[in-house]
Amino acid sequence: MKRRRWRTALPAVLMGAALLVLWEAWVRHFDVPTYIIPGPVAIAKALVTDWPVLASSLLATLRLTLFALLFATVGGLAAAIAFSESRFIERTLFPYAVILQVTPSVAIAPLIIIWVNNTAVALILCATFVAFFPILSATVTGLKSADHHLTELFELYRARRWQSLVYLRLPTALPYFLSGFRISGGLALVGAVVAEFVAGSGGHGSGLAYRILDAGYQLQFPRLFAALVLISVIGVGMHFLTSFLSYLCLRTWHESSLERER
Amino acid sequence: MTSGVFASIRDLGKHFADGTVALQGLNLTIPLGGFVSLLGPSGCGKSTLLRILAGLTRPSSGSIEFPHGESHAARGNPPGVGFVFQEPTLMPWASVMHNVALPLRLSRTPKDQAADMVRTALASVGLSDFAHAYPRQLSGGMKMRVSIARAIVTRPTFLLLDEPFAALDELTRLNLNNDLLELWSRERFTTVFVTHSVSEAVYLSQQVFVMAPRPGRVTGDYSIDIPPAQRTAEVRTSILFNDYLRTIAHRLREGAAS
Repeated sequence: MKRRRWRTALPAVLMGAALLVLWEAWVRHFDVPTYIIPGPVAIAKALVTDWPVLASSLLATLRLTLFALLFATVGGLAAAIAFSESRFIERTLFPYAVILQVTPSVAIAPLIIIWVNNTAVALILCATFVAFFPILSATVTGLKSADHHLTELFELYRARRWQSLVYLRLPTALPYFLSGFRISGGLALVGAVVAEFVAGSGGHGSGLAYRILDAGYQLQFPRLFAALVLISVIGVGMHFLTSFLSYLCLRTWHESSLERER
Repeated sequence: MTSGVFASIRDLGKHFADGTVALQGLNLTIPLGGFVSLLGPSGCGKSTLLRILAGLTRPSSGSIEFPHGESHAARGNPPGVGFVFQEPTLMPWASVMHNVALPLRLSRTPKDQAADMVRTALASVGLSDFAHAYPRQLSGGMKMRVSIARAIVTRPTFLLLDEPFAALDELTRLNLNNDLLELWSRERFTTVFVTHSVSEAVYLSQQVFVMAPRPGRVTGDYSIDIPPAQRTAEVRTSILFNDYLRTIAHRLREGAAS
């Protein structure tokens, strides 16, 4: 099993390595200036020499991303349950939820930064806002998707509202929620980066996006790219984290997590 | 063997908001502890009748009485009812054991008592070894057994089955027919079985009601006088059995043609 996984990963790894070599060769051969693009070796060097600064930025962005995902999850779930439990709340609020969802969050971020005095809170609000809606809309759909015969069965046994929520609708919604959760994991990082860009140097303990801006001003291009690499690393990490959590929740029963023997 | 009336249905009608008349002027008496089949083509309202009996839908007119002190309460369901749908209708996220335990969990039966009842129900459908399996690991016939175990776990007085074996292959279906008969002989819950298979209805039931569509009504009422002990594979080829088949199939065709 392990060996087979290695085999499937091998082409991608080789391709990556080849690209890096080509990139380095190209930069060296044509003497490309670092303000156009630094070579991988220069970026790696920056990663090592600027590590103390970059590491604290990495931590800041990571923390922001994880908090945003956490709040988006809690908020999205709570809102979805409220919508599905109360027709009144749904009719009153859902149109506005849609309007907020279709409004590009990048356009709202500066307002949040202006309105909220505490920068840390403003950043988290911004990033949460971006990550919130996939969870909300996926979960709302899931909560409404219970099998209608099972719903009748619950009715037959006179299930209380909370019972059909806990024993039927929430488990039905779980795979829907998790696919929203995986999308939100990526979006939380997008939100975090956008928020940091907009906040700029306003924040202390600034994150990777601020490093990018800062390195740009100082013409430290290898460091700029190093920060970019670290953002990708967080993105990949979020992807694996959310996929793994999703797998853990569904492995016993859901089609998407089952391995079929052939 | 059966004495008394479990339910008596008088002049029952059901029409839907779109104007469809599902049932009209339907009269039916279900004997206490009896096994009754509702037989008819699709669209004759037999499933609707079953859902009304279960309390899942309200009739538009007419009445249902449960003379044995079990009145059809305003919004309630008849007490102690078990229902088996055409599909197994299991919760894919729950093990067999937890699926069967669902009715007990909803009525908040104490845990150890519930565990005993689940064990008994699983044993009576022959699935004791699969308590911890998940529905996706089971065959269609086994899933249906789980569904039946769930319906009988509360030891209901009234069991309703809506074409439960229609989607299964012939062999599984015959086996489940025998199991259901055995279960009924042991427990004697009043059973209403909806089917569109004449031989299944005759093989299982003490009484077969033939229904016709547009509007749904009862057009025939046949007592099947074959003792439970004689209902084995051989009876299917007997003259008596085939006489029943012929008569009932004839009635079924007449109803469909009219």
